[in-house]
Amino acid sequence: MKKYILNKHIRYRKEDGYILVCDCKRLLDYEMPLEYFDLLELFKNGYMYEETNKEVMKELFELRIIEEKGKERGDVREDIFSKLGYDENEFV
Amino acid sequence: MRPRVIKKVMTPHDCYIILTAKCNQRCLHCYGNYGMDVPQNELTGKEWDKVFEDLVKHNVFYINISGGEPTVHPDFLEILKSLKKHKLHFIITTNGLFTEKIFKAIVDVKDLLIGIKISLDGPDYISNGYIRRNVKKEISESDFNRTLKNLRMLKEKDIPFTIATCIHKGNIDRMNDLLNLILELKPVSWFISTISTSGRSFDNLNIFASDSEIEKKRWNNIKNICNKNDIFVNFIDMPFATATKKTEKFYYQCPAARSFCEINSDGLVSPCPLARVNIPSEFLKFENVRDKSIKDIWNGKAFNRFLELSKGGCKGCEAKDKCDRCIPQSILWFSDPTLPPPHCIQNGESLGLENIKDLRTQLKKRMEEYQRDNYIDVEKK
Repeated sequence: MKKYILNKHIRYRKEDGYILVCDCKRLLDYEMPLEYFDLLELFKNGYMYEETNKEVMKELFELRIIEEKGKERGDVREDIFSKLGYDENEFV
Repeated sequence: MRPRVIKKVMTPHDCYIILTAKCNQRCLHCYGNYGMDVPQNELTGKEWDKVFEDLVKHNVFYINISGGEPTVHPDFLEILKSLKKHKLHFIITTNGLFTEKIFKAIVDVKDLLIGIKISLDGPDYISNGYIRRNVKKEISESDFNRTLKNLRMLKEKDIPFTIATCIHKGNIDRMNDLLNLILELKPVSWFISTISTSGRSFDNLNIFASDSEIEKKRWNNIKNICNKNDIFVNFIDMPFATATKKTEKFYYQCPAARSFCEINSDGLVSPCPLARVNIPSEFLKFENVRDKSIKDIWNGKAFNRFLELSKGGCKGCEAKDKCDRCIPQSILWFSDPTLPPPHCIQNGESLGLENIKDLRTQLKKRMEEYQRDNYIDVEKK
């Protein structure tokens, strides 16, 4: 039975009416309904079996928010500066 | 679940950190006059540790470490350890002159490192040195070689890096040579920009080059060749190189004080580096992270006032409901936060700005005063 853990580069927090999730390695942001906060907390503190919340788990896995325990995926080599919310060159 | 476009959030999404204003170079185009105006009371490694603790406590997702030259902070190695302790993701923007010891320390925190951006302004030391000088303001071959060596080491260690290039009079005719070097170094991306009109560049007006000095098809060619080699090219503030036939209205989209802020080396927290550099304290008095938590500063008087000013829009502007007006530019050019920035004046007709004739006259006058009469084509419609 597969076990899933939170991707170590994922950080999240409650905002006004939603959960803001950030993939800090790839600089991607997602919005999640507040009802999933406890689920994310469960991942953060351990692991979950694939039977639980199947549909949500599938989506979280596809977005690389969670990973299969013991089969963590490597980093992706991609441009991140273009994903910043500002033209960083302005300041350089 | 869907991708989120960040607008106003409760605490910063990410912070731009001026780790130190010290610098081991004296670049002629430096927007912040770094290396020369170093605050006496810069935060120490221990103080940055407290700042990072506060940022993590308030769920800031990552920081972008810059300077000055961040790697010359006397406690830089301790600061990297602190990032590791707090599991805080980070980006580094550097001139690439760091030592092997620092290189190893960076590799040691590779897991939290999002990316490195390194400045490279020419294909050889003469061209690069046209704007990028050593502390004696001389062109330095050894500096250029060291940066190149570190770039090659990053490639070897498979650490993703971006190369940032400013176009200037000393490299505008050398773009093909620079392209060949870029293809050899194989960064993830190559950012090419014009020089900002700020700081030391005002004293070195001869260095400015316009992107229109070479043919548009050559810019397109550079982009295409890089794309074929998996190098993403981004032209920044290069209207000629990026011009399309689209007639979309120009307006500002800015995360300053909405999802992003700057923390300066003396602890001062401002919406962005340009806000700190260009907005005098009589307009806005920014607060210090030594005295208050980031959350209180973010939701405090100065940030709220900045947002109020930028929300106001400019008279007559048809894009004012969407625009995050650039207050630092309005103050830099007109000492008046209610007037539109230069690029909006340039596009004044399509935006529907009121008193456009008068605004153009005022801008022209300021460009002459600043001796930057080639900054933008004010009459362009």
